[in-house]
Amino acid sequence: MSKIGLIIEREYLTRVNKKSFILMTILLPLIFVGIILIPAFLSQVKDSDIKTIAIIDNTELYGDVLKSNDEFNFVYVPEIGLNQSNENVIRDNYAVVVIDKNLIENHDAITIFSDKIIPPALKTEISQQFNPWLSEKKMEYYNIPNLKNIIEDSSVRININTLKWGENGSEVNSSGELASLIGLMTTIVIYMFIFAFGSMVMTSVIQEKTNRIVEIMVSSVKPFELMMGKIIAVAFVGLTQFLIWILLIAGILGSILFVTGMASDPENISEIGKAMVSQNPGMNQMGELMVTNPVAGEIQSILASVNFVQIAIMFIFYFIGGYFLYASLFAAIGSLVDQDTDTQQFMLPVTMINIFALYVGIYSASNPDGPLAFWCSMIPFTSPVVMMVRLPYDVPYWELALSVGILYCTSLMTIKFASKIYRTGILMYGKKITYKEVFKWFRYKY
Amino acid sequence: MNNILEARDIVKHYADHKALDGVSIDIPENCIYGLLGPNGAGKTTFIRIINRITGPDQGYITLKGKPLNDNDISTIGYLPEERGLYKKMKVSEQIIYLARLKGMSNSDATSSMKQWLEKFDISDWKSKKIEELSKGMQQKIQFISTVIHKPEIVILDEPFSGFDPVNAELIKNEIIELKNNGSTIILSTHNMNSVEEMCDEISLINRSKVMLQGNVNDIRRKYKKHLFRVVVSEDDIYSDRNIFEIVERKPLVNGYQSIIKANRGIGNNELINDISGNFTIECFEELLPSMQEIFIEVVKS
Repeated sequence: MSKIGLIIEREYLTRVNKKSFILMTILLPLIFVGIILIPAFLSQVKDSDIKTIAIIDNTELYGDVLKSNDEFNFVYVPEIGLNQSNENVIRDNYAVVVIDKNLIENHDAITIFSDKIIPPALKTEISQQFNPWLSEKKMEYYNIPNLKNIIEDSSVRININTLKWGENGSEVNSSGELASLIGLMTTIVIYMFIFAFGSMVMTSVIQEKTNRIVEIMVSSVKPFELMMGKIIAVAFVGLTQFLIWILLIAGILGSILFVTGMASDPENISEIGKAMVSQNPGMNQMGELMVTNPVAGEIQSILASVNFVQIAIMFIFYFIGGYFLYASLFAAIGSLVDQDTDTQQFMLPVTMINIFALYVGIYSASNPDGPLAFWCSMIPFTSPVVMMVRLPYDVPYWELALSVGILYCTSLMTIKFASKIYRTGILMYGKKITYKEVFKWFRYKY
Repeated sequence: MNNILEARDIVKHYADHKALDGVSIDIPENCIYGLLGPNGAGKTTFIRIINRITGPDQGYITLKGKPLNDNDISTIGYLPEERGLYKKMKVSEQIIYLARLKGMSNSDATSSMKQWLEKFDISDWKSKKIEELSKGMQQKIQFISTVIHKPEIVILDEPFSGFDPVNAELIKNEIIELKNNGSTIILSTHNMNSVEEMCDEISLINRSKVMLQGNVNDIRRKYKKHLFRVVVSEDDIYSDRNIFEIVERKPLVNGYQSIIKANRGIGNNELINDISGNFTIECFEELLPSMQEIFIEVVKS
């Protein structure tokens, strides 16, 4: 076996045989599943009280606008002198809505009073019922024949744009949410993976340096082989953990769904299904399980609209590229210090880029085709994190190819650059190393 | 005697200083070669260049007449001064791993490891983790790792540090045995007694340059101070012709011992004749300077 192979073998086996690794690998999916399932089940338990809302309409224009539903019961009360008995009204009802003036002319002439904190759901409910009704009324004011039709006609273009996924409106909507959810999840996962395993490389380099084994190692292998062996081994550890997690999460969710899902009502399944689908690309099989009921059918069609295979493949591509880029930087940083606590001055720029990438990623979820998202998915230091968020929105192939190409070229250059720092740094002890010195090392001959 | 390793005009710069400045060293085959010098003189840099951990800015090194290349490092065993092992690894795993990195096969490494553990009578440590061992025990494992692949050149940087006298003796005997089995040993140490006892040749490096080089006995003769230890039966030694001075004297059970310093150009026989004219010589010995004295003299000048 080649020397680098031996190093990879040792570094890999010592890590996957660690108790902490085994524990993390098994426990995390359980926690993960718990996080998905518990809120899904809890959301089924709704507040059963119907809240009574008194409406005082001083304008007497909106008598039939607000319709009661299973959450709020809207009751119109005749106008009372607000001063004398509003206390009674407030005590008897959950909240009081007072309309003072014509709402078309005065958009803010409606107020909700309550002695409790008013839940946003109530506000949303009222505006959702009022807005379309008011719009329609306003259109009538313009007194243009067929205005409503004209507007509907002109809004068709907007619809065409969003109809990318399917044929009916609701489906378009839900898969858009799903896409951004999948994008955000994969972004956060890739961010965590790159930095968790990158800093694992750094810790290991510092350990080898501080316990002085490194001088013995480099008398047998080239510093480059030692560094690459370590980086590659940790990459395998990361991929191993990723695959085990995917399998475990799929397995656990699958069996839970198989046991409970078939017996409960379709609503229930769809809730769990949505939560589950959004977390885990490997759940296509579950979709098949649910094919028997109508809601599940819809989920499956949403599932089909997102290219999970592409996302999974690109995840691995970007993980490897981004990981090698950052892990080699982390290895170089590790070689520059004598102990963990000295890493700050070199870590700061790397950490700043990281956090910037994550923020751009999260921001891009709402604007996946904007210039910031585009450029940051080309810049190699941010592209793995930012591109993951854009992937579910059908990124053109040339953009993907360009971004991956830039990432891999930069990774190779960074590895070369890092290995120059590494081979000098690992044998430097005792003195604090400055950036200026590091640049001098590039001139050293080996 | 052929030279196994020749270093020619090695120059190595670091950012702000010259670590080696035109160092040339020839190491004869099958000898113990002492590399001496104060801390920071450039010994470690030189050793790292031989190990190909780092490269010279100028100059070259040949091994058996051919330029040193990357494949040669499997014929070298290196015990650094600052040493360490993977703390979480088991003794057997550690030794086999390092042996395989030097190019041994798994089975060769395993059987060789067993022999060495038996030789040092430590077979029952095999499945202990390195961190469970005492410092002296770790040093033994380190020594085994250095020589397990039967290197032709063994480089030992302060091999005795951290050993108790019993184990230091054990290691010393191992080093001599390695030499008897045909290896060449490069010994870097501050322990001048062991240099006198073991080394055939030395180079003394100070401030990046070779200050002194050659056979240990030749060097000691070259630096001799013309001091002699003479024991005579009678009291009060003196010189008829004033060819020596008395430096120190003290009575012994069987006579009187004096340390005398002969004048320049006086041969040993002349000295003996002069003394034997008046005294009965019980013992006559020329005192050669110790390597310790030579070291201090060279480094201070």
